[in-house]
Amino acid sequence: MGDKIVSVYWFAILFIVAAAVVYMVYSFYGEPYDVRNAEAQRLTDRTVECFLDGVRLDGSFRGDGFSDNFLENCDLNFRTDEIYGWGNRGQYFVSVSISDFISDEEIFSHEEGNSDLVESCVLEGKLFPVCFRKDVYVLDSEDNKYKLSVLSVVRKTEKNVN
Amino acid sequence: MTENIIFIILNLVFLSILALFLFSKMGAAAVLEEKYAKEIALIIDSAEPVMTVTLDMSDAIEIAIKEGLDPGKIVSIEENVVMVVLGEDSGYSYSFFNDVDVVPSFDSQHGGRYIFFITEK
Repeated sequence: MGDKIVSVYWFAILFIVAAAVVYMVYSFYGEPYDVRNAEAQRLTDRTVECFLDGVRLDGSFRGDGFSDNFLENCDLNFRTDEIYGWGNRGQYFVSVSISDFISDEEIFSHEEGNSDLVESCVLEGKLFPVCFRKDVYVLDSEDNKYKLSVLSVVRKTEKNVN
Repeated sequence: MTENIIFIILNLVFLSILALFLFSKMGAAAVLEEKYAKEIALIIDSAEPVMTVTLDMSDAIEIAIKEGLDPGKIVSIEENVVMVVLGEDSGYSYSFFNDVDVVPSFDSQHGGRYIFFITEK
């Protein structure tokens, strides 16, 4: 056997390369997939769609009991797995506001879910809940102009971040 | 000459072991359980009733069969929580917010696929 095979330096290089690959693999595959951005965007879009009839603003939100049964009316379910204490602490929050586009007067507002999550929207870092806001300019059936603003927040930190 | 050949063979063996380690981690059951649980939850969140979604899960089904599990039972949905199980003592769950009824069904005719029937509650 020659120098190359038995060399201590060669084994040291092998060990360093192997250790680096193992470390990189574990750090890459050990990190959970963070899907909260996609969830928050979809929750916002679904909430916006709930207030639209095709492309026009649907007037049903003016009816009695719409806010009381918001989740049911918008086909949403904020129940999550019963782990990490999530059962007692909501992992979702949605805030909706509709205002007159000209006068800026608010004609409807509603909040649903864990409102404590909103505070984290100003904070940066992957350990904080993910927020997604969307403002949509819409016309009603009589061509009146409105601004529909939706803010969605998704927590679920333990399942998306290490 | 012989020395160089042994040197090259040892290098190849070392690289092969590293590659095997990498591929075993890529296709690990725990990784696939999480990937599919979240993917299915996101698909359901984007779906509308009445809709049928087909998902290729051949890699996960292959692992389930190796583990002796019934491929028709690796995905279950209870209320709004998706559960993917690819081992005897493992499993990963993830919830979706779309309030719909979802029935997962293993496509036994085409092997590696799951079909999700999404209907109104």
